[in-house]
Amino acid sequence: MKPGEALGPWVVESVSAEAMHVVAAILDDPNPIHLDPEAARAAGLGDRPVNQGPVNFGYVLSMLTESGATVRELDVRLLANVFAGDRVIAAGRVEEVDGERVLCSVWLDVDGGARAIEGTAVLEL
Amino acid sequence: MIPELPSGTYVLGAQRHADLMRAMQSTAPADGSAHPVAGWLIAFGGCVSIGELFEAVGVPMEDGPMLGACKLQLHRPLGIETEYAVSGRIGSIEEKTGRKLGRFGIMTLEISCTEPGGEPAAACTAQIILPRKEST
Repeated sequence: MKPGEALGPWVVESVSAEAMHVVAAILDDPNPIHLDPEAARAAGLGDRPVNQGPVNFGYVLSMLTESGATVRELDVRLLANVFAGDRVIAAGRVEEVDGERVLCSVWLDVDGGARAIEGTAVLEL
Repeated sequence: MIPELPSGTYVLGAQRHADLMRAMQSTAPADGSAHPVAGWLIAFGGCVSIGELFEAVGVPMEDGPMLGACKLQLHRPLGIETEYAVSGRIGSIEEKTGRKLGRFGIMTLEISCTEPGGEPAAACTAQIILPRKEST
């Protein structure tokens, strides 16, 4: 890996509302905005279920691990929601290489929408 | 407020990990370790559930608490079917006012996960935004 090298893109063609139910059970997260469009509407978040935040940064981690990297650190801000049916794209860029340690900038964008996640990752080669 | 969160243990089972990978449309690392998002799952699973946490700090789920930031440190690849000891604390709750959210708190959680042999495995620092709805 070299500074400036692109990471990804890693794409989810359509975020699944059904998967949000599975993840809610796994994470023990009862927040209804992930499960019920009515709850999302009542919270003023639109009319589609809202994807869980850890899954959104999980997509970024998938982009990194599926490139063969070992992730040592992820430090991200969650800037916008991802909704059922969204197409999302995780990507990144190598910023610094110091021996076996690689610092990257990473992000997750909603196709045609906002940047949902932004931050940095540290990889080990 | 509960500065110290309950300590506990968590085992990420193979079936649960496989279900998570399917739901995330992702594949597990080729070396057989858990996907790194397991750091979050182990941290919260062994310490406090999302529902318990918001109940403890007096924020109803319908007020819309949300994850604002997360720092996940993985000292080593995480194992499937491995029991981790987990401990955590509420580092701070900072009160703020913003144009979009009005009054809100930023709660910082610091959670550590330790391997069976006592070696540090992972750490998670999460900032959660707590809307402060005005009572009527």
